[in-house]
Amino acid sequence: MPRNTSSGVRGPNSALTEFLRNEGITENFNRRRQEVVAAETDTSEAEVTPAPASARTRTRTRTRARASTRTRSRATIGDDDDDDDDDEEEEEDEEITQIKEAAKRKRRAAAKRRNSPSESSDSDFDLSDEDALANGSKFKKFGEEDECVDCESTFLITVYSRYDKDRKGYLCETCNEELKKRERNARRNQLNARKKRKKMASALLDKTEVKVPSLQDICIKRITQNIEDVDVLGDIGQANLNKISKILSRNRSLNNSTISLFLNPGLKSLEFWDCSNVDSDSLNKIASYCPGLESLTLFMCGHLHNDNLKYYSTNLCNLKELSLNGPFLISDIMWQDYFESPGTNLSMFEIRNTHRFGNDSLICLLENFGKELTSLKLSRLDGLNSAAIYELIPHYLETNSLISLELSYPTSEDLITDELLINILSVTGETITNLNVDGCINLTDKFLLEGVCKFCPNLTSLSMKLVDQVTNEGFAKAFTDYKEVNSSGLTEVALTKCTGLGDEAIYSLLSHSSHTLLELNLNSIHKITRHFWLQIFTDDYNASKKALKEAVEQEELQPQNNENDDDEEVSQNIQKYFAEIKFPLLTTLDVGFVRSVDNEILELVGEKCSKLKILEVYGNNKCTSRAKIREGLLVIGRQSDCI
Amino acid sequence: MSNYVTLVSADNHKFIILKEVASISSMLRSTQGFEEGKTGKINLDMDGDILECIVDYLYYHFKYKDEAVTGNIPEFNIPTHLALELLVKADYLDI
Repeated sequence: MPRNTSSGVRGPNSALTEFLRNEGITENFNRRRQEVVAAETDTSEAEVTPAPASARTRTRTRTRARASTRTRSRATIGDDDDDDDDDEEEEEDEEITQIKEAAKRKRRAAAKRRNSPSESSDSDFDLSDEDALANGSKFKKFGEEDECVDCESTFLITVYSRYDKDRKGYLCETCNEELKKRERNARRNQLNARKKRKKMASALLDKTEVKVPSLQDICIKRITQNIEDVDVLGDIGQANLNKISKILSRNRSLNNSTISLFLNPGLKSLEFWDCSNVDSDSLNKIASYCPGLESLTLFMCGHLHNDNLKYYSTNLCNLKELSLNGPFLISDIMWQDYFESPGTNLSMFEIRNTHRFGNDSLICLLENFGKELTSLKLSRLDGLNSAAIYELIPHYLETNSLISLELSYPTSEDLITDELLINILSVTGETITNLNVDGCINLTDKFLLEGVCKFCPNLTSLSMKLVDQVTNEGFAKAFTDYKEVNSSGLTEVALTKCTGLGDEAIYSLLSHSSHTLLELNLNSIHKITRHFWLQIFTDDYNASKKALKEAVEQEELQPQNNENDDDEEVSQNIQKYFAEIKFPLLTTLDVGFVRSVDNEILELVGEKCSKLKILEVYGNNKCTSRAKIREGLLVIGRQSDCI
Repeated sequence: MSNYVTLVSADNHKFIILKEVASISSMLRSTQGFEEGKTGKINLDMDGDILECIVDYLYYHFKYKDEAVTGNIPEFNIPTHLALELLVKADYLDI
């Protein structure tokens, strides 16, 4: 009986099925042969026909292949002698085969009904075979001789012969081998190309270029790979030590044994960026091995315990700068003890990500060191939840002493208000160079107009991410006024997601600071228009710009004359005029999700910002691979860069 | 003017290499303005095996510097036991 083995659904495969498929022996192959048989005997589908011996053998083999798929235990290639075994399996398969048979019959009937040679592409793929059949080309059976469609030599068809669909014939063994080799090469090339793309993309994300690695990097890589075997790092230079320590932190392999490689008595400053695998005892070693430390930075220091801090307070007498990220085991009371202990004398204090640093701790810190503090950084402290405590900060600070101030991501938005910052800045604004108020979403224009603009003549770095209540007009006015106070200009500005800002605000910022800016982050300020970019990157003497300027000026001179509707429409069409802005020092610019940035703007940015090295354009779908980019400028985040 | 310079190790191993290759190291490049430029001989305070590794690297860098962009360059292997000392010397030579 004929068994058709076409199935639309593929289940789990046995090794045999997989092998047969790889060799090109597919369902299709089998069916083709069946059809030859059908054509030869010229019988209806319902009728049971005795198939030629070779076809029968094939059928059995297929059946067994499927049986083995099912049972998975009998994955042996069937040989024709053990018929009993075969019959058993055939019985098991009977029902499935019948269902498949019915489906096949149905489909074939449908194909016949349609019966047009130009069958639509969504019909089953084996139709091409049936077309071929209709065209009268003859299929050979295994063991017969055929002419290779490629080299035209005569050869014997075996189960391994490949059928060339395009040329409607079989390939001989040698041609098949060659084809396989070509396919393998193509696959390898594809793989290599993918690897290369991946390498470039990952280098781009690291903000570097692919180049020959330096011998130092090779050595450091080798050392970090074998760090467990290293006893002493020796005199390899502090810069290299720091580099190794950073790499170990990044690989998360800084642990109890590796940390001691970096401890030596002469050290004045120490930074460990990932202490999550360093236990409490080893953290004590820092104080016992390096008693002369003046600056200590420990990030992800979840193992830092009350006892450690106590030990530090007695052993690190010279410690002036302490930065901790995530010291959540240290209790509120321990903080107070630490600040009050006679051995502690801090001038820079930074703490992030702990809920145990509470209101009392902050008061205690301010009482003891408020006068000496030059840097205070408080970020993501959920224990600090009293606005009244925050308001005490300015009262404890010495006039004009603070240089860096960070109050970011408070636990609730009403804790940090315009008034608080204005108060702090009025006390110590004169000396502040770094101000960070990320995530203080309660701040408004007032904080800029009456705080920063009045009291901060020396500010160089301003970060106010997510401060979205600041308006375009307010910010523009603030920076226009700011020229009077701070004439030197800012070097780093981060305005990520200050979504209230637009063209005027940015223009006012740039006209104040463009000559000093090194880093600028305008991520997600979506109101910036394309016109703005074009204007600030166009020469002031450009004819079209001159015309625009005149038009704008004229508009300003006679604003009342526009009585009738036509004129009003014209006045709306006249766009704002922005003078050209030069960026002599800008090295990093982030304009991600500023959708007005497209290929043309990208090219202009590259041209006009001669020192620019890194430009981020995430989410700007008009920036494509076609943009012309200056040599030496890395553009990160284009969709076309992905692997 | 010769196109080659001789690098001499502390234990008196000599490596004669192309000037162009030597100048990958900014330190070796800068010696050329001095006495070493005239004699074509640079004495270095490192052992022969270290210097051999460094010369290997210099040629590796020279050979593959243009192919780096295609990303298809072999890895440069260094003996693990020399890694630390090599790091110090590489730092000194600025390579």
